[in-house]
Amino acid sequence: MTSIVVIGKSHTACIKAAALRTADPLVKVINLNREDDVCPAELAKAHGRDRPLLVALSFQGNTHNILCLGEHPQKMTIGGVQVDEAERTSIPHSVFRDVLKLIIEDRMVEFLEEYRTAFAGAEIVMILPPPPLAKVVQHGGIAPVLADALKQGVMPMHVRRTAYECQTELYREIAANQGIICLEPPPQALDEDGMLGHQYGSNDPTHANEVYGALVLAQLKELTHAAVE
Amino acid sequence: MPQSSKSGHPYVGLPDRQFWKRMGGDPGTGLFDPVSEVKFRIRQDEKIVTAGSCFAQHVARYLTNKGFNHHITENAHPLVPPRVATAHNYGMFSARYGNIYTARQLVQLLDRAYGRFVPIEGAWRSTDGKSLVDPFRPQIQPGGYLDLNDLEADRRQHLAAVRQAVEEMDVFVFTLGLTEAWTDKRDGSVYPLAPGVAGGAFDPEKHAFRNFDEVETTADLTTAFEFIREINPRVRFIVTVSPVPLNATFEERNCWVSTTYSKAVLRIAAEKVCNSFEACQYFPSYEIITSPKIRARYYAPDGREVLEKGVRHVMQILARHFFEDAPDARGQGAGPAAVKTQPDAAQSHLETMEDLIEVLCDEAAIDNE
Repeated sequence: MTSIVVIGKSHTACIKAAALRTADPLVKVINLNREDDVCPAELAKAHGRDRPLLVALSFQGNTHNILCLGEHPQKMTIGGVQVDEAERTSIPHSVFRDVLKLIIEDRMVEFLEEYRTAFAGAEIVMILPPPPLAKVVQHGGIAPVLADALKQGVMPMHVRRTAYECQTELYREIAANQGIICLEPPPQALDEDGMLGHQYGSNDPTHANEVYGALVLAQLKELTHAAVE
Repeated sequence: MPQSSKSGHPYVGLPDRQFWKRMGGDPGTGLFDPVSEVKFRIRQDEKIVTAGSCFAQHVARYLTNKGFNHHITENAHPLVPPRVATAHNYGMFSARYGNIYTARQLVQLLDRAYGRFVPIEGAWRSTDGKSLVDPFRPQIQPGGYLDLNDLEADRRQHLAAVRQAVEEMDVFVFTLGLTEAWTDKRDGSVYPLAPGVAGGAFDPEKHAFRNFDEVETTADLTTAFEFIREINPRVRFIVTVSPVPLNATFEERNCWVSTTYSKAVLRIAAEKVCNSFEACQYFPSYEIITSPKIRARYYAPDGREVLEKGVRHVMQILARHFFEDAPDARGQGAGPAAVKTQPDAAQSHLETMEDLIEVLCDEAAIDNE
């Protein structure tokens, strides 16, 4: 019997790694980056009568990184906060929020509705992506594939955090509108600024590691227990 | 001047346009064209900056859509897609000043842009209380500003864009819209909307109603144009009067009566200013839309909004008389120009980031498994 199914894209990798290590038969993690066009209905059908108690979804978690990890050719900040001496264009907070909405909202709502229909009866949970790392070490410590893209530099932490916060705020609103649970990042994985603690990151500054995945898995199990009780 | 002594009276020999029954524009006779000689022409590459009331938005949009050089100096950051930029009023005018209804407002904008005036009132709470709005463009930012940092940074950029527009423009098209305004008694600030309508709170101790007359409006427009010419001596002016009636009046009388007063004031001011400045031309968009020859066909059923066909008529006449090699003298021009937000380098940066992060997703998966 499977009680937890985690479905999503790249941010499921750390959860899957943690699940594989414990070989917990009650947990199944499906990284859709590794599947070919699997639709929610097929995924649900594959479970047959073994209906999960909880389906946790993790999609589009990296939009904030795509927009705000590397310095843009026209340097920017969000909401006017002066983060350094550089001349930066300020994108008003509500403009940035609407950029995220345009990219995320419709697709996310569609995903949620499809999965809710396919896994009727299961508790649907939206997993918030991990926050960015406070410090991205550019020289030597970063995945070579990304180093070139960051040659203009990494955006200051404040901008990256604001972008992340805008995205998660939007996710919370979507989740509330859809009547589903939104799973916050595990608090013990965050540093004092609300960024991802360095021990939970890797040389890929856009994803968390297996230790983080284990913490998320523990949160999901707790939610499942609460649902059963 | 035509010779009149031999022919009996001074009107003999005058051009047809000076006679109602010969001036044209009757239904079925083609576009009503009340424009006489113009003082200058505009090359297609010359930078046009627009400002003014609601009707000026139509003019600005038409120039942008038809491929004229509507000079936008306040663009959204390249990260912002055109759809979002448009929704947040980038490209509506040359900079995000919103509607400038009165000549006094134009003077104030210039003074603020060049640091000659800093209003006491810096921010208003939005009507829903959730955000801040700029008192001098209270509807420019849908969703408002998160906090004072957000608002002030955007304002600094905005005022820099206003300066850039003033300094770079070849032609300034200004549409006079209203004479009624709300002012701040403390420093004389003039607001585009009454406090409390789209933010802020009305306080009779602080706020006062003004209805500028033709002397004040002429003086304000003169001050504004003189200041612009000081900074940019080559600029030419086109002045128009909005044909859109007042939405509301604070005068204790019928709204239409207030409208006719306001439009008369604005029309006089426009005439006087155009007569006193070189290369300053009145353009009769008001007359085209409101002419009895048109029989109100250019107004929407509410009798106030101007329909697209009316705007098209106005702009075709403008193009015919002012634009050299106009792409759309007959209304068949280039397709709409998108709001400028995504220079190639910027777009390419985002695409690269997206691709690489996707690659990383897979790399991460391999590492973790």
